[in-house]
Amino acid sequence: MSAPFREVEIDLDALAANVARFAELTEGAPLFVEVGADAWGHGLAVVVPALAGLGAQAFVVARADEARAVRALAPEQLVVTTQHAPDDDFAWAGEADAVPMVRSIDEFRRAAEAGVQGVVLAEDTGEGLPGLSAEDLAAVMAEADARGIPAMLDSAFPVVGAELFGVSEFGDAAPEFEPVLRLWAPLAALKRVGAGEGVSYGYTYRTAAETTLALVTLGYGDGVSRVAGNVVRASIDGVARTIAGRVAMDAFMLDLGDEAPALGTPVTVLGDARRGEPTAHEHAEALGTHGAEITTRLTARPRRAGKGGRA
Amino acid sequence: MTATATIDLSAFQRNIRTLAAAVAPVPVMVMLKADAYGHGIAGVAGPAVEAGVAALGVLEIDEGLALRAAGVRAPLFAWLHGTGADFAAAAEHGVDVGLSTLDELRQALAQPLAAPLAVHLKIDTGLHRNGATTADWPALVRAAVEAERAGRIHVRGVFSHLADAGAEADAAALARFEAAVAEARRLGASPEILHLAASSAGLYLPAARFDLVRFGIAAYGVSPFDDRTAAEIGVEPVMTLTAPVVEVGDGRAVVATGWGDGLHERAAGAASLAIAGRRRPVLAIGPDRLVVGDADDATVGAEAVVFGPGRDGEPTPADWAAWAGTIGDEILTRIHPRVPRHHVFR
Repeated sequence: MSAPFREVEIDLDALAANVARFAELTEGAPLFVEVGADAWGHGLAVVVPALAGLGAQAFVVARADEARAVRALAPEQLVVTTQHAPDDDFAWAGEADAVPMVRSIDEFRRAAEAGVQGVVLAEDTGEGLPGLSAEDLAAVMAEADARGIPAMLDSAFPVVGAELFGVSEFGDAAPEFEPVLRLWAPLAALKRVGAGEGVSYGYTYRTAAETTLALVTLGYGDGVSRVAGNVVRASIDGVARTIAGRVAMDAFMLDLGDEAPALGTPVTVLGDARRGEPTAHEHAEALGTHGAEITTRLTARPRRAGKGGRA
Repeated sequence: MTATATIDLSAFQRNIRTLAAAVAPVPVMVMLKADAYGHGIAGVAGPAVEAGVAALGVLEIDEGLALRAAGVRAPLFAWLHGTGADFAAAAEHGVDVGLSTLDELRQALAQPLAAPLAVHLKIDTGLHRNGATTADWPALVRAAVEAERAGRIHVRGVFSHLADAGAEADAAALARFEAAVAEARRLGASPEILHLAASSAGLYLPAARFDLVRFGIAAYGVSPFDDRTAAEIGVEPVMTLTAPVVEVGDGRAVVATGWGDGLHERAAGAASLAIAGRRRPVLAIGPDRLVVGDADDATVGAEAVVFGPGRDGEPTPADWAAWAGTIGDEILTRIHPRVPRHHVFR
C-alpha cells in the first residue's frame, strides 16, 4: 500500500504532560476521561491505550458502540455510558462490561435486570438533562445495595473532557493544557503562476504578483472547513500563512511568494503555537466555534498515529 | 440508540440514471472520494456500477485497490498521489491514474509496471490546484509519449477541473483545455478520453462534456448550483440522518445527535429538523445531543429527521448547508464515522 500523505499525529508526551498537569490542578483526583466522538477526533485507538498507561481509571462515552470500542482497547478500566434508548435492555452493557449512567428508577431497573457490574447515578440538578430526585436517589441506592450492584453518584465522578487534549468546548484555549494533536500533510506540489491568477474554486483569492503556489492534500473531506479558505492559517517550518482561496474536498493552496520549500515538507494546519503552528483554538475563533468541534470534525481519512510516549 | 444515516440506494441509482440521461450519449463517471461523500464507499460502489456508470472515480490509488479487492470490475480512476504512491499496483489492478507533473510520471516509471499503466494527463486550466501549467505541459506530454512508445504506459486521457468561477472563467478554461489537447496530439499523444466537466458544467455547459462527465455531489442528490434546487435538476438526497428523541419537557425535546456526529454547531439557532412531519427549531447543538423547541407533542423514542429528501417535512442537506454557511458536500462528508450507515433499496 502507498504511504499515507495526511496524518493526525498524536503527541503522547504532550498527553502525558497534560495528565500530570491535571493531577497537579486537582491535587490527585482520579483520572476519569470523556472520550466520546472518537476522543474528540484524536482517535480512540491511539489515546485510550495511552491514557490507560498513564493511569486513567475510567472512560466515559455516550453510546453503546463507543463503549464496545473502548472496552476492546482498555480491558481493565471502568467504561461509563451516558446516553441510552428509552427502552434500552442494557444487554450490550453486560457484554461490554460497561457501567451505565442512569437517570430514572426505571432505567436503573432495566440495567440491574441485565446484570450490569455497576451504575452511575445522575442526580437531578434542576438544569440540563433530568436526573434522579433526592427521594428517587435514596430508593435507587437502597435497591442497588440490596441487589449488590455498586452505585456511584455522578457528583462523586468528576470527568475531564476535551481539555485533557488541549482543546476546549467552551470557546477558550484550554490554557492549562498543551495541544496533543497535529494535523499535517507533506507539501504535494509547487507551481509558479503569474499575477492576477484566480486560485481554487470560485476564484475567491487572486495572486498579487508572480508567485509560487503550494498544493496541500487536506480538505473538507478531512475535516478542514471549506470556509477556512482566506481565513485560517497553515504553517511550513514554523511560518504560518493564510490559506489561499477556498478549501476544496481534498486539497487547499498556499501562496508562498518566492519561497520554494522541498516537496514533502510538512504543512501543519492544526498544531501548537509554540512551534509557530496555527492551533485548533485559532481556527475555532476564525470560524465561530470552539476548539473541541474543530478537532472532533476531523474525518477518518487522515490516519491517526501516536508519537513519543513510553516505549 | 444512535443517530443513523440511511442511504437510499434506489434514489442514488435514480439520480445516476437521471444525470446520465441529461448528458447522453456522453458516458458518466461517479465520484466516490471522501468515502463516497460520506455515504460509505463499500455500500455504494456496486449500486453505481449497476446503474450503468462507465467508470468510478476515487482520489487515491489505495481507494481504487480497495474497490478491486472488493470485487469491483468497472474502470477506476485515481488522480491524487503522495510520494509513496503505488503505481505498480495501479498498473497490475487496472486503476487508471491522473498525472500532473513530470515528477509524478518519473515516479511511476521508476516502478515495475506489469502492464502498461493507463494515464490521464492533467492540464491546469485555471483552478491552479494540480495539473501541469501551460509552460510545463509540452515536457510532460513528450515524456509521456516516449514512455508510451516504450510500452510502459498508455496515454488514455487528458483531463482538468473547472474552477466554478463563472461563465467567463469556464470559457477561458475550455479554450485552455482544447489548446492543451491539440498540443498533446501534435506531440504524438492519442488520448481517447477527454474529461473536464463535473456536476455543474456537466449539466449546464454541453461543450465541456467531451468524452466523460464526472458526477460527484449531484449523484448524492444535492444541487451543484446556487440558483437551482436538487428537485429542479431532477435529483433527490440519498442520505437521511435520523436520531431518537431521548428527553422531553417544557416544550423542548432532546435528540440524540450533535456535533460529535458531524453536525455543524454554528447552524444552531438557524436550523430546524422534523419530528412527526413538522419542523422544530434547533436551539442548541452539543457533542451528543441537540435541543429543539416547539416540541410539546414530542414523545420519548420518537424519530427526529435531521435531514433527508425533504418529502415529509424534513430539511435537506442543502438547507443545513445554508444554515452552516457551507455547501451540501461538506454537510454530507462530515457525518462522522461513528454514525452507522444503513444501505437500503426502497
